[in-house]
Amino acid sequence: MSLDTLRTRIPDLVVSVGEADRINYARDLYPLTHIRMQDARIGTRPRAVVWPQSAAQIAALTAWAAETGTPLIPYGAGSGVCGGTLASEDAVIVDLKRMNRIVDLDEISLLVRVQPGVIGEDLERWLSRRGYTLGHFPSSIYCSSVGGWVATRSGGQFSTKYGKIEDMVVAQEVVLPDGEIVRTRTTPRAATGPDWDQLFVGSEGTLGFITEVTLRVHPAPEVRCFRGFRFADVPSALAGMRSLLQAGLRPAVTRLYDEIDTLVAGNRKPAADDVVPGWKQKFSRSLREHNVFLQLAQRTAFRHPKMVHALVDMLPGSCLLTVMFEGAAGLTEAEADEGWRILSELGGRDLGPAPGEAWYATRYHVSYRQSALFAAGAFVDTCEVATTWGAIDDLYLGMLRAVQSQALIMAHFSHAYHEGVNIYFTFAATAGTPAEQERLYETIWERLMESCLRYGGTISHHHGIGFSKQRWLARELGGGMEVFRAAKRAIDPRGLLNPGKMGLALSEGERR
Amino acid sequence: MIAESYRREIQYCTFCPKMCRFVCPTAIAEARETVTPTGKQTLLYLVQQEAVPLDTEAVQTFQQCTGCGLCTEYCDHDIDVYPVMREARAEGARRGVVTPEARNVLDNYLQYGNPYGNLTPAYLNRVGARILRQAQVFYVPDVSAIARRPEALDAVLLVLEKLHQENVALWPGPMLGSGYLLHTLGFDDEFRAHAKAFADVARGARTLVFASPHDAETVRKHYPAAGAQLEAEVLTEAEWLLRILAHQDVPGQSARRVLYHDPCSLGRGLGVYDAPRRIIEAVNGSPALEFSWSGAESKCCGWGGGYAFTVPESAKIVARNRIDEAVEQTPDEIVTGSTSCAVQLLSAAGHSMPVFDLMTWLAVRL
Amino acid sequence: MTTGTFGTQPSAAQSPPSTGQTPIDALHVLFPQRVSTRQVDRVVYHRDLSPAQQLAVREGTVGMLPDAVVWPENVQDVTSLLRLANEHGIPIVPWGGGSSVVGAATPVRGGIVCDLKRMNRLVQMDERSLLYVAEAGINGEDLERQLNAAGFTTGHFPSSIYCSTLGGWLATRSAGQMSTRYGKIEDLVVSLEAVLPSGRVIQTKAAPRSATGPDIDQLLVGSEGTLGVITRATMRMFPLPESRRFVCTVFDSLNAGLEAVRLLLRRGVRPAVVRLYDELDTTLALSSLGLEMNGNLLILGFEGRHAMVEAEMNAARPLLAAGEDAGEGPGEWWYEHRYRISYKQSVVLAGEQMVVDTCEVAATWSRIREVYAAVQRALAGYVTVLAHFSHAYPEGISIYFSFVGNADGHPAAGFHAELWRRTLDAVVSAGGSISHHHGIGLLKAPWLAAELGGLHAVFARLKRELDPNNILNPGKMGLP
Repeated sequence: MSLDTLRTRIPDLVVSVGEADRINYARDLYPLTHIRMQDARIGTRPRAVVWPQSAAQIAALTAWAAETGTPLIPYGAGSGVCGGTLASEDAVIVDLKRMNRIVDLDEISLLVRVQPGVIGEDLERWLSRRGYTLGHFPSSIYCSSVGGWVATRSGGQFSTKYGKIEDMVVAQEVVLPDGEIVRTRTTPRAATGPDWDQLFVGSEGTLGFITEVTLRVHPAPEVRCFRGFRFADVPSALAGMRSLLQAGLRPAVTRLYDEIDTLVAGNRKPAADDVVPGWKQKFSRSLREHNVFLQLAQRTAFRHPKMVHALVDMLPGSCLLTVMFEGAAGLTEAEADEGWRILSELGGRDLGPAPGEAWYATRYHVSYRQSALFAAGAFVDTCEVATTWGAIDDLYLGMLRAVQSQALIMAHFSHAYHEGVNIYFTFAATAGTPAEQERLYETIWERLMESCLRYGGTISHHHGIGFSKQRWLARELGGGMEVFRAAKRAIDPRGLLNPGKMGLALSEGERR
Repeated sequence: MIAESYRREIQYCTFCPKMCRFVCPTAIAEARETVTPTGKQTLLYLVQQEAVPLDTEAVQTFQQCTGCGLCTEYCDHDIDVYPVMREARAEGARRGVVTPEARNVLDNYLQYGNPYGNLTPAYLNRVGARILRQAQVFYVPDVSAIARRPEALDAVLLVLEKLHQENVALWPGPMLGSGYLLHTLGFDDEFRAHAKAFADVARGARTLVFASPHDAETVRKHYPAAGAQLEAEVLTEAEWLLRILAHQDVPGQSARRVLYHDPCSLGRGLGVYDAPRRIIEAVNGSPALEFSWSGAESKCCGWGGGYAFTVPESAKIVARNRIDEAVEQTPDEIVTGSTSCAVQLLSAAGHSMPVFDLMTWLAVRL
Repeated sequence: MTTGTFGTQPSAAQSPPSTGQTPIDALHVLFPQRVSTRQVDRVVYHRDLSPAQQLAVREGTVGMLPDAVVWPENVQDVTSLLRLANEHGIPIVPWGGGSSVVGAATPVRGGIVCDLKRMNRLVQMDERSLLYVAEAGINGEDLERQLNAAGFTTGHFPSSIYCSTLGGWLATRSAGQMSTRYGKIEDLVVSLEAVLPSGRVIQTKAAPRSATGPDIDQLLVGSEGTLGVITRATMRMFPLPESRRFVCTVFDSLNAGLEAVRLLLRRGVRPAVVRLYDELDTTLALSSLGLEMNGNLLILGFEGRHAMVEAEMNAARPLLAAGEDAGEGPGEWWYEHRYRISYKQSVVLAGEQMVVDTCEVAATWSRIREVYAAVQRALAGYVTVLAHFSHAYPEGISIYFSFVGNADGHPAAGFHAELWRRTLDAVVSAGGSISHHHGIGLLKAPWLAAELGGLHAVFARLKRELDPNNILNPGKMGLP
């Protein structure tokens, strides 16, 4: 059926079938699409892109989609790195960014109600002007939307204090695939059945359109205390991090860089010189003066990652733990002092506030780095996993070893919890032909995911599943997939919402 | 390869996670990935690679840039997307791929020496008395003022009188303005011709005062490459006014809530942030209010880069967004250093908020 | 409430055999020695601790009896039971401590009560990750003491701790008295083992956090036995606190006390205990426990590391300036007597015309005063209403109402039902949530659709997909 019926049905709906739009909505930030773009290969173009401006329009859109059997793909800012918004030829992309109002701020209850299309940084600045913070700072904050955060279970850099997005969501309005508009109740907590908010948080557009979210906000912090600590190696630094959290302290930030990442991260600011002694310091400085990745690429380090890793292993290791507390004056300093005491007792060498302040000043810079690498013909991606403290050392080493011969890989540990911590791997590599490049990329992921599952890690800490990780999801969920699929059948029996993602493809028999 | 010299910029943006999208006025106005800097550059990248043709739709996409330069403020690689887009438009023009909107601007330039149409009779009618063919100091009005806000010309005359600037002549034409729109839309040959003709008229003048910061910027930055040599000192209206007002007594007591909008070309373009603020403070008796996005981070009004001509509906949304931002500061009025900005902001503000260019504001407040 | 007489209603379990073997026979084969069809057991398991049923018992009324009680010993047992139930369409009612006060554990359709209390082992403690794994049937106090012996605590202290189980806590979204610091049960759970209605065993991953689709644990937590049988859980545990201190303040007005609590949470202070009693609760409830106080008493309890406890108390004090310092005494006293209130109910219920119940609701700070006032208005002259505010959040707080009334010659059941109708209608219209931590069960089911809106239908659809034969705890939460 033609799109004309859509135009008749919803006359005010902004619709585009333009080639330039279809090309631009044919990819998101899934690095495999970047690799293909290096070769000027355009992915599958959606049939059309539409920009609804209200939940009612979306409801009408779902009715049209049901009649015509058209897949709909909810779209925020397209910053997903797992291909969660990739389209099929018959799909219509539903871009929610025209629904970008900040509806209400309840300063008594510390709640903000927003539409899904607000870009993160815009919301944060809006709150900041009024003396509040959301406390959610993903490194994509400039290029991701609130709806996207909720749909993908986003986690921000300050999550240890403020929580992840699922801890911030108090209520939602969702348009279900059958056009019904449902709302969860705005309440601090309830024992009124399962937490329905948590059904939609992380559903990645497969269960409904999130059209409004009520989030917790916090008074803007009065003070911020930074401190860097140097530890001899990753395990001892992890022990430090663990003790902080298990002592009941809630730093906003704890970031531990492994040896390579410390070198690379150390290229940010002179302050981090203290982290790396002797000739390593010089190496670090030379890295700083140029773009480290590009330099490494040019020196063909990517072609010989094994050598680089061996070299780093030989160095007298040291890694940097950056910690930051923020919040109310008095309480925050007390908490920080307690934290510094714990870390010093566990062998951390106090580097003063500089490393943390340097990180803070450049905290979103990492997102800019990938361009240079892709432009140079290499590729880079990140893999974020998590596990309990008891299993973290093995998971870290297991995953590193799984791909060390294929890629230059480094890690930091950036979201700490009472019971465990995440690992954020960054890996970069290059291969000869475009086909080899793709193959290498897939191989690395295969090895990372398999080793992650083998060592008991969760396959995604905060990037989500989308398209790229779906084949491992059933093993991840340990039978929970049956519950997820039941929810899918219950809510989207025709399977029209973001199909082909998250391992939810419904069989003929399941479809209604 | 087209836009060969911008290869790095194009590739970096193509593979960037759209870190500047949240400040890009066109991306915000249309909420469309295609017109984010990354989206535009991706399309250009594919055009470069000959995977996509350089057709009207592509050129239309490349026209979605106001040249505000705010993206550069959020780029670790200091990439300015505007010159790349301008080059892509120029490549389109060279290949005869011209959108109807751009064609209209071009035709007006070719026939009337300005982007709007036959403005000369009205211009002469309004300020004929102050026009000289030769002068030491020329005041070059903003073409947008002549076309869209002719009463601003009356204000100019009034202010010149109040400030005793009898030696200042108004620009004689026939070409009005620097040819900024020819340049921005990529009509390089026509721009060169316009620039040379403009320089010929200006020959002998000691000082050129440009009401439009776009004009001042164009003359300073692009005339030399176009082979148009100007000996005169090139001043923006704000810089010149500050110089004059420094020697005069001004009232300085109305204490209204005046919100200042930085024109992109005046601020980020020419680095003039202070002059208009000092003028406002002197005349108003209290410092100008600031937008939450101001100074080097000031947001665009939507006029620049030919955007108000090629995509007028979206340009109006950009203006609307800026007005919404203004309202947060609860000002009595907005003052800006460019009549183009004032015209554009007014298109969205309507009667809800007075918006003045500097001259008109001075005419009222002095 | 469904009423009936002693096991006279036919039910699926006793339906004429088609294969020559009744389901009850099959049960005996599957669970030798671990199944009971004895009348005495069936009577005991036919009700939980909901006051409505207590009143019925007082009147001598007995409701629908279950056909059998089964005690599985491992997850395979549960799977076998659910498969059998599917085969014959028999209702299964998962049963922990049976301490529900809303009828969640009542077998309203008969069938089989699946008592999980033989699955009561503390399986493992991971002292590095501060996690423990325990089976669903473990008793709360038993669990807490086992952890204490190793130097840890669950951090979960519902006043039912002596008579409730871990599985029950999870199934009903329980909250403990120290939840403001340690979190509610949904914050404490890290992973679950559960048996879906199909008999399929699922084991979610013990990861600190994942972005791998909706949080499956959170769909089972609070499902009150309608979506699956929780058999085992991995939970957070905490080192025993170095220090526990109290700051007590008496406010002239309830509003001043509420405002102090709001500002405290807003400032990021994290007391373990926050309890603000209104005037009547301060005088009546506390005096019934032997503490004489007037005004609106606020008890704040802090625990954890010495230095942090000091820092938090110091941060709290300036925000309490509107009240009068009452020292640490009342807090210490409360701590000593913190489970005592659960014993008071029997005393009141023993009076022939007396009706007693509790109702815990929640709302955001912007609405909470209206919810409190609306309930007071709705019940003025009907029953005596005492209230305290006991679980505080930066965005709101819960109210725990206690009602005591005299049916005064009217049937107690009707008097009691009217009490609830007035209360929950008032809560819903004032924008509160109908349950903070007791759950829905039977009692609050009529209001659940108002609470959930269109999501109630989603709940029903999900239930149908997971449990097409509707075997798990049918007839609860407004579901078929």
